[in-house]
Amino acid sequence: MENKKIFILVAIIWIVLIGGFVAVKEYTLKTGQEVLLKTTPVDPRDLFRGDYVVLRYDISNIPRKKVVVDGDFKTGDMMYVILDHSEKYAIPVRITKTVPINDLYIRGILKSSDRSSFNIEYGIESYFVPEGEGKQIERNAGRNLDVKVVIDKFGKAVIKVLIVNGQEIKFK
Amino acid sequence: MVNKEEIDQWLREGVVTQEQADKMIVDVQRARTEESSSKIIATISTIGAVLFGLGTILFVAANWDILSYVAKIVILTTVTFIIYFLGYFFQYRFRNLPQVGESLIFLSTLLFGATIFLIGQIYHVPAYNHYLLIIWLVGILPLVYITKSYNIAGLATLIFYVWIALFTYRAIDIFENTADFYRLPVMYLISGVLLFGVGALHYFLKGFNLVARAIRLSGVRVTLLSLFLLSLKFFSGTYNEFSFVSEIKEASDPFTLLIVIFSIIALILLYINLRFNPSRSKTNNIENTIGFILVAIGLVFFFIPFYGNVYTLMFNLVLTAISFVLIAIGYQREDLQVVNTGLFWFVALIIIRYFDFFWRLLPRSLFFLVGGLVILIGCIALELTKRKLRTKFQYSLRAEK
Repeated sequence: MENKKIFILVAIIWIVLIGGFVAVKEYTLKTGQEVLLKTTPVDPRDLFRGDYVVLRYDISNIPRKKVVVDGDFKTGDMMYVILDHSEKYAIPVRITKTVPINDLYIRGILKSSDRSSFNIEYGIESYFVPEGEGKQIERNAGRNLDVKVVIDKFGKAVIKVLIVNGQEIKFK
Repeated sequence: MVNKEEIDQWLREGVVTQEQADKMIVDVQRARTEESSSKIIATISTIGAVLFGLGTILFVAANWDILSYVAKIVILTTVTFIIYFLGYFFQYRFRNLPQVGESLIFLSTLLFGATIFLIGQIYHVPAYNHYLLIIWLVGILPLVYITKSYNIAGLATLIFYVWIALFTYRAIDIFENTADFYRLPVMYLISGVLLFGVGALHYFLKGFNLVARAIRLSGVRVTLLSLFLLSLKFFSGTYNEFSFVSEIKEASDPFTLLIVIFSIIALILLYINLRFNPSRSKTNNIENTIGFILVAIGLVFFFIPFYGNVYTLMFNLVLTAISFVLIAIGYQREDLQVVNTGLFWFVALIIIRYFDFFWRLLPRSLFFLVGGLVILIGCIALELTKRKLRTKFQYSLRAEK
């Protein structure tokens, strides 16, 4: 194949990769289930770094007593956390090693665990904001800050919007 | 290209006349000036390309509030493709500015990565998400084979190594779960051997010597860096009566799986290179045999940890042996970079061991006096050796280009 065609082919691959990345996220946003997650306070040293906010949720640290746990988990393992979203905030009810069927679940990775709880990361712990706008959010973490996330049928979550005092925060 | 010393020698031996020698010296000098000029153009155009790319990224960052997400993506993507195709036209279509073209294509690979990370940011994907690097790597790998560029091959290997670190990190807290992090040097040891095998495989392909060299050298360097880390008690032995090796928790399943997969692929590649490498040289056999040994040592260390400093001693011996082997191979192949790599790690090992052995034995003033003196003398000896080797290896250095 001549160079010109190969270069065009690579350009097409790039478009597919960029477009695919956007499409996957948009798919989650468009087809997923919206749930509201309650945030918890974060160590102020870690909360705001540069132009993004570190978010922690109630579901980031799940007490073993409050959920049904199917299987043993090691650090780094994939976890499927089944959520009950019948109330205002989504709460975890069950943790499994296998993909749940017919339930709303969110995928996470076990960061650490002890005898009493699981510490889980869902990939929705960063929220990028314009420079200097993070302080306002920082002050509300753990009190008036909620996060609306969208979870698709594969358990992948994307942050849709931050809500402070019941009002959505929007940036361009 | 010949050098002045050789022309003088031919003159003394009567192979050439004075007139011919003078003419040859003038030609050699002219050729060198042209070569140097090409190098300057390549360097400046690369710097220019990188600055332009940085400017684009900073423009988007500075106007973050004003630009919509779509605008940001459109700007970065458009600039990426413009630079990419400009590079193509300069290097392959018009062929009038090949070095500038190569720099522009290299820049477009950087901008492609920036675009991926920007989109990740728009969807609030954490910057440490290792999938972003996979997308970047998948995007630029075809260009390694199209352009046969040393720089793009180097970038691809760099992304691969960073990906390993981010895959290990995933979401695991560094201080709460040190199990995987603590074993990163072993992971890098095996991945270094793996890339060495991948690089060597490229010698089977015609015209891929530069790519092969870039990947192989990066593999060797990462392998040696890993061995150096593992030669420290902190990573492989008992440090202040605490042995991380035996007391730390087991590595996670994904980490273990990755190290096993890398090992298997590395062993297969080493076997292919050992059996089928077209060069069939003695050094090829030695290199691949060392690769086998390193993978075996890495796996034993990973799966059978125990208290004590046996592994530390072993890694020290292995690093010393490999440094010497590299120096020997470098001499045999007249390859200054290989010799330098071997020398560098041997000297680093000596310095660290000096600190280990004499820190408590000698008075502080004497420790620094002797240490400083040893380092100074070592540097002078290294410089002189390198200068001699540079002259000796001139043929091979040019051949590389």
